[in-house]
Amino acid sequence: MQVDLQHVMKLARVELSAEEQALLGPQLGQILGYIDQLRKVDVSGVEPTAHAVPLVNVMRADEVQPSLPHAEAMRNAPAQRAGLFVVPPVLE
Amino acid sequence: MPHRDTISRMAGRLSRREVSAREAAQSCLDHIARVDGDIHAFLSHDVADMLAQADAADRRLAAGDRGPLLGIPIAVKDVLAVKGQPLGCASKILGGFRSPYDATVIERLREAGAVIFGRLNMDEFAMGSSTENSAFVTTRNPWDTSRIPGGSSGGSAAAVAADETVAALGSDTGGSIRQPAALCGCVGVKPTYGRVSRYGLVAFASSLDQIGPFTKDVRDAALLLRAISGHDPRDSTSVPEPVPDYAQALGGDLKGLKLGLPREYNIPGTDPEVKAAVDAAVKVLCSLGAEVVEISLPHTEYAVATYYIVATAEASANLARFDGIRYGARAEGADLFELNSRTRGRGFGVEVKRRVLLGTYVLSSGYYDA
Repeated sequence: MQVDLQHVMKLARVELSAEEQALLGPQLGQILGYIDQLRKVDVSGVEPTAHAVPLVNVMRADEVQPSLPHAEAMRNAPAQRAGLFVVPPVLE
Repeated sequence: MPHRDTISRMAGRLSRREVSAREAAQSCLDHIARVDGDIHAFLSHDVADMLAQADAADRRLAAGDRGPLLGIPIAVKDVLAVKGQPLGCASKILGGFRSPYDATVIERLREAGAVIFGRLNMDEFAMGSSTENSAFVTTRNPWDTSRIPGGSSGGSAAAVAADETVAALGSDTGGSIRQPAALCGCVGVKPTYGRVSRYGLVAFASSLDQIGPFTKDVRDAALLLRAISGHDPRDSTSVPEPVPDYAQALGGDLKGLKLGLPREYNIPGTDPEVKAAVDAAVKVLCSLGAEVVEISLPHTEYAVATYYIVATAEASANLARFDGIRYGARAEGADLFELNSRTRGRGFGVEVKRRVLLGTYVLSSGYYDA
């Protein structure tokens, strides 16, 4: 199976070196070829199961709770200024 | 040599004040200094913080407080949040991240008085089965340091097997507790999904991830599992069911218990030693009164292919948060796209990139339509 690696790298936001592309491109194709065996499974008599533990619509009370203090939330930021995360320009 | 104790033995000695929590902690630290240069189970450990917790446990013991985990050293896989301590998932992309809060399991262990310490090595983001995918160091099997400990919780299994800690926590998505526990000869449990809150566990594949114990015997696993289990409003997948006293169920016979042995698990290529060990376990269970019947799980051969879709798809979504903006390492770029792509390209190891790309692809319209 062929994968358009450049397209997937763009979707995943992952830059790869030339060596990594040469390694991973064929590997992804091989793994997808292996996964392809699922097409031959007859599941016509099998009840669809989304999950073994069917919990649905878990709600909590709509009440304000203490949240992480601003300074704590910023503590691990790689770049910050005036209490905000610094990013490259998005709009010129 | 308190570090060699099980939880239950150490708890008895602590409660009789034959040993102090500080001596127990120091005993583990001394043993780590002796052996971890060969085993590399730990990425780091904070000595001062550990001893301060031990002193606090000693004060509780002196005041008459007692409990199965009070004063017991428990080490933690580098995937769980411990307030103020580093959290790296054995990856470069987390940079010098320190957790702003405790995971629920850590909160529960603190209330029980456990001495929580160390960052145990693992496959990067829990992706792997040998601990060779750590970005920092390869953990060795304490029984033979030329061999792997298994993974992804290889540091947890090796640390317990080598008596560097009394017990440890790990996480299991597709075997990451069970397999290293088996390879290192300690006890590991992947709890039923929903039994243990994942709040404060770095997510890999959310419909499979569970936190569980590594211990030196089954009774300890029962004690530790009970302490970390139970409903938590901060993890909506945790089940609102009462937690039984697992240790109380130990020691009796197994009359009336029926165990299924899936015939599909007996596949060609199984190592004869593994097969012999399984057969021996079946004999023991039968001799204790259990009834063992052969059953069929006909879709077993498709489990790995299914896992490759579910786990990678969920991982690609969960790991999108590591983008170089809010925390962790950053590689600069001319625009946001370049910053994100470079940060992730340089910060993730090759196994993580392989899975993120595969998961992105299986979630893309090109694959879904096919």
